[in-house]
Amino acid sequence: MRRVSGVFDTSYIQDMTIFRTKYYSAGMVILILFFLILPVFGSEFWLTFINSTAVTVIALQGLNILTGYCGQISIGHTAFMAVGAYSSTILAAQFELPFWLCLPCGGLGAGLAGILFGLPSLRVKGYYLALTTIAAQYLIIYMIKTPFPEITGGAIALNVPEVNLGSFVLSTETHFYYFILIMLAVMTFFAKSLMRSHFGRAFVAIRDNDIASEAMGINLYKGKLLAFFIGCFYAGIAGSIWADYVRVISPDDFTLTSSIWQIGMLIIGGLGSTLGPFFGAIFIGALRETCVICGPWVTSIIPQLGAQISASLVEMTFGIAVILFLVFEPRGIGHRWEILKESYRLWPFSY
Amino acid sequence: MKAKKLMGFVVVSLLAMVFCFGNVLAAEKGPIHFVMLTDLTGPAHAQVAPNGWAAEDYIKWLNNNGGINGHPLTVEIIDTKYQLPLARTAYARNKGRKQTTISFDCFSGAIEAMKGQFATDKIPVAMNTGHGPALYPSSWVFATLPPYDDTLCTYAKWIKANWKEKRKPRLALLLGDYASGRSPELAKWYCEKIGVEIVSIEYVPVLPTDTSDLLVRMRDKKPDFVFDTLMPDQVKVVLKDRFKLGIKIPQLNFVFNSDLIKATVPREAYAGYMGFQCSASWWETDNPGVKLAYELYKHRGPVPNYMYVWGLSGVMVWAEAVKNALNTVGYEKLDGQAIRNGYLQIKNYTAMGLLKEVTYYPDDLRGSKWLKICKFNNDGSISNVTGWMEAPHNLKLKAKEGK
Repeated sequence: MRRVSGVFDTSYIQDMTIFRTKYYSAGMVILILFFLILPVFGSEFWLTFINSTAVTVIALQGLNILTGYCGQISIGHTAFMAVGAYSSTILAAQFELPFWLCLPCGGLGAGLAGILFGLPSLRVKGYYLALTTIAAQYLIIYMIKTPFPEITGGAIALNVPEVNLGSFVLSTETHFYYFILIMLAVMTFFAKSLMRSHFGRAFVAIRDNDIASEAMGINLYKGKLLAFFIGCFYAGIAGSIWADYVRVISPDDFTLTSSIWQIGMLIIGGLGSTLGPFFGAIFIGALRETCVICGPWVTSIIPQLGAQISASLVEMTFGIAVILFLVFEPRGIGHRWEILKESYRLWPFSY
Repeated sequence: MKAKKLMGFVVVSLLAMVFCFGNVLAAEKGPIHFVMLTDLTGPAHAQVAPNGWAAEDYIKWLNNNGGINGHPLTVEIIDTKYQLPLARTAYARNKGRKQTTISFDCFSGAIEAMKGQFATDKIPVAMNTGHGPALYPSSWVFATLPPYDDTLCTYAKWIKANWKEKRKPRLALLLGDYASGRSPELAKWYCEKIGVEIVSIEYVPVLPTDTSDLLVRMRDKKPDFVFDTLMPDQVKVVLKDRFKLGIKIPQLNFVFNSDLIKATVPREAYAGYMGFQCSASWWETDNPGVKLAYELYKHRGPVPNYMYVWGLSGVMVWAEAVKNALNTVGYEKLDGQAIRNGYLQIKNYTAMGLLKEVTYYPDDLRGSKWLKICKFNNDGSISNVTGWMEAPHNLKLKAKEGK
């Protein structure tokens, strides 16, 4: 762990601390307080945006563990979200299990599906593994749509029961806001802790050179399957939370395009860092919302264009923004953030 | 001299104030905002975008003709790209605005997901799609066409009424592999109940390249009729494959995108193809509503496409509901409840002849329950096969039967 100049660790506990200096800790406290009191002054639009983005970040943390740290490309991550969503919904609706049991079961179901579709990673890697995960995307969605429509709702939709935490019912945007933020904090903490453990170091070793890591004594099979399990567990948890939040789910919510965009968000945010999913999800989410808002605004300024051309121009701008970003910062926002922090620390010196 | 200068300054200032603030003094009527959430650049845009164009053009036309009761109208067409998170945030952004009415156009998934929220927020939402579960049990979602499961019921009824043989007529379903495409499965019980046997159900992928395999499977079941819920990208492949395989079983589409079919499919392939119309369409040029559609569309092209005319009928009903609400409660009290009541006041409205008639009931928010079958002739022209037929309300009947 890199420390600021002048900060010395004199104990193991200090060495392992994430927020080592009082400035870090104060910054985190201010940030937490800000998000805690946001519902008081923020509009419902912001709560809705934060809720959707936070669920995406949870899924992306899993994808980051799988792809960013362990190097196993997965272009079917949304399908594992679907597994979690449908598993928890069916357990709640058909078997009337309590919410606190359905949520982890959704994650477990997705994790086990991840192990099944991660088995090819023992034989193939890179683009070939990506193809198998695309197959997972199609197979899982087919299984939801066609064989058991009386259980899954088929292609139409499946209603999700209310979330009851004891006698308290999560029903408003604000209720879900606090619940999702707590889940986000917990899942991020576990992701960070995992990567600081020997499992995380094994994942990184497998990513960097799987043959060398095997020679060093790391069990490749166990490592890759564990990465798939944990990554898809996160996806299942995110899918389950999403299902409880929107109250109606259908296979159209979990498409290949969404899976590809999740990879895109991770690349833009920065692969291989815990902050990367935050940056990626917020950047793409904010850019999309800006485009949605800008379309009618452009039409109001230049009515001759009409809504169709304005929306198309804005969509082109979205694509150009993403391309330019990747051209000028291919390592992602996370890397740029690290440079910014270093510059701030060293200012006015350049190194 | 000084007094003259001072007088001149005061006069000029007063004139400037009147110029800048005169509209406040003149008590200008406040605007009413129409917000449509649609798909202009996403996966369903080919089918759905013309609805947004129709809304944009019609609201502008209304404005040029005095607005609604003198109130100017604003229209915002928001591109949600058929994504639920974008639809949710766009809805959250707009629902608190005063004197604002919202339409979700053809986004079945979002409408069904947010149906409960519309009721909680007391925001009536117009929809231009035929998604049955969004309309029954009735709440705060209003349509202007029968849902797609009702269209299957209507087709089955028509088949049964015209069937002459002793055995049961056999019907095959070719369903688009998306939510509204599969929704006619909810009407299978009705078909079986009235004696129409469903012998085959095949699902056509959203962007198919070849459908020969599923057409052959369907053909092997020897159906007498085919009902499909295919969008234009699917129809063109299926019709070409049908022609290639020599399949001549009468086939009917749930939403007759006739102009797109003519543009993308050879005449030999689409001759005999039928479809349901829920509104008048572009070839019925004597219809006053269709004439208006041509007028509004002329800056986009010579002929308004089917979805544009259909979308126009939907936005006319939408505006009529707002007008009713305005007449009842006035501008200041124009809110969701008033607009909902405005919808329920609509009785026998025809949208300038585009629709047979639209009437809303508290337990039937389909609006229009009339459909007619049209057909491509061998020379490429289109003619009506039937007059207007009443569509049974499938989900309501199903609930009554306890199924």
